[in-house]
Order: sequence, then C-alpha cells, then structure tokens
Amino acid sequence: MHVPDGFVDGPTSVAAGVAAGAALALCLRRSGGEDPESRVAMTGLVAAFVFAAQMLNFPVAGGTSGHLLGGLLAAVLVGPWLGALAMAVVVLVQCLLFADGGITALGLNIVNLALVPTWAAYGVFLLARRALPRTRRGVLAAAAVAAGSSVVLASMAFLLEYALGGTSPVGVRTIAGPVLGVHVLIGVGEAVITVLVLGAVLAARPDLVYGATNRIVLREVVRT
Amino acid sequence: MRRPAPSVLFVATGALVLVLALGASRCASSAPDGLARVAADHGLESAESPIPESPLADYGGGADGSEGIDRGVAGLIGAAVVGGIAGGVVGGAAYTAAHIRRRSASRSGGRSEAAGATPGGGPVR
Repeated sequence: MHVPDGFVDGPTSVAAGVAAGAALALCLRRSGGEDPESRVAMTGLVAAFVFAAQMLNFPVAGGTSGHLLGGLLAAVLVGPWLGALAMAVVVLVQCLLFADGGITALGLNIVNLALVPTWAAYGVFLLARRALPRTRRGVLAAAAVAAGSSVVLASMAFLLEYALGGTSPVGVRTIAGPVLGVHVLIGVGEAVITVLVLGAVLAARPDLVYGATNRIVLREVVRT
Repeated sequence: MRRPAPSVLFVATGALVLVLALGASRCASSAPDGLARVAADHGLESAESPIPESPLADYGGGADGSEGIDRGVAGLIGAAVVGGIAGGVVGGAAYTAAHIRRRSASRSGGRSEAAGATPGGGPVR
C-alpha cells in the first residue's frame, strides 16, 4: 500500500509533500492541551501498535495480501491531530529505516496513509456516530464503517495522484478497478481488526478513547 | 484534575506489540500487498531508491543481498523507534505549547502590575 519511487512524477510528489508538511504542522499546533503525559504515552503506544500491526499481512484474494492501516483507529483513540502525527511517524520510519515506500514518494505516502485515512475516515466516523445509537455498540459500528472506508479512501487518493502524475503508460482507468477492488477487501479486514482493538480499549479504559470522551456518549458508553 | 497514567494499557499494548512483532516473521502472508500486486499485474515499475538502504530494509529481509535479520526483531526495533519518536514529538509539542502559554501569561501579568496598583492595594496575583 506504500507507493514506491518512480510511480508518480516529481511535480505531483512535491505537491503532496508540501501538503503533507502543512498538514503535519497544523497537527503539531493542535497537539497542545492538558494532560500531556497521557497523550504522549497514548500517541507513542498507538504509533508502535500500528507499526507492528502493519507488518502482519493477511491474505485477501488469490496471491494478494493486505494489512491493517490503522488510521481510523488512531483517530478514534487519540483524536485526529495526534492520530495523524502517529501515522505520519509510522510512514516516515517505514520509509527511512525499512525501505517501505520510496523516499521521493514520502509526501504521497503521508497523504495516502497518514492523512486521508485518519481525517476523511474520522469525518465518516462522526457522521456515522450521529446516525447510530449512543452506546458502545454504536461507537464500534461507526468505527467499523469508517475503518472500512478509510482503506478505500486511501486507495482513491493514490488513484488521484496516479491520474495526475503517473509515470507508467498504463492509464488510471485500467488500474482503478483492481486497485479499488482489492482495497475494498482489505477494508473489511481493517474494519474487523479496528472493532476488535477498539472494543478492547473501550472495555478496559473508555476514558482514554478520544472518540468516546469528547462527546456526551461517554456516560452512556460506560454505563452499558 | 489529572487523569491517571495509563499503566495497565501500557503493559497490555506493550505485550501486544511484542507478540505482533515477533509473530510477524512466522504468521504474515508473504504475498504482495494490494498495490504491489496491481502494479505487478499491469507492469508498473518502481525506480531505484536515491538513498542507500539501511540494514533493516524490507523488514530485515536483507538489502542488496545481505543476509538480513529476523523479521520479528526488525519489527520490535521499528515499533520501539516509532513509539519513541511519536511520543517525543507530542511531548515536545506539548512542552512548547505550555512554554508559550507561561511566557505570555507572565508577560501580561507584568504589564498589569506596571500599570498601577489595584484598588485593593495588594499585589496583583
């Protein structure tokens, strides 16, 4: 799911890099607030967990695998700003230390894997929360929908970048179907894993879940 | 009021990360992921990386023909580095924000003292 060097041309990659930089600067500005120890610990934990989980590929179709992306999970656990930071650190370390994702594609990968799945999917999460009952199950159902969509949205971001600056003679229309198709499947896995992990955290420490604490829901969630 | 430090969650997640990272070398599917698979099917080729690869490249798979290290160990190293950097970044941002707040608070406190004593006659707290 990481874009390697050479798939997308220079101008598009640079534009993505600029957008990524601006977005992360915004996240840094928004990461102040009370109780820094808790946020430092939770963000570090979320980032470490996402990194480790992304190494566990599961088969999705003949000869293809997927893995957890974790953007929505991060956003629900520590909020959209810290969540995006955590995801960006994962992408950065993966690129620099593990050669997963091209260095020239770093901006693209931060957009696709740290920003889009965290923010766009968090928006889906909030909308879904409004439509669903304000219970623990409602939170989990919203998370499932949003997590599944996060993977598809991330792949759509890639397709957009490829349409703008793809270097291969293969057109975006040719690969759009397979790309979207496989990521819908991966999205199912994402939804399942997200619900399992979020459910565990909600059961143990619901107060640590951003997506449940900044809404009135927390009282209901803890009561059920 | 301060929230208590998430110690239980810390231990639980730490254990989970350990299990995941160590299990990654044994259980993970080795099939290419979605994007890699589509790229291979349609002949999209990636370019050479302009930077040298670290010894951890490909999650310990071994860059440029070297033998590499156990994938689980690579995962643990990565998880520790990622967690440390992410926590450090947030801590740094929080510290900076608090520092800026303190500085502007002391500046405005000083300004009102210089403007004159309060009617009560006591110092401005």
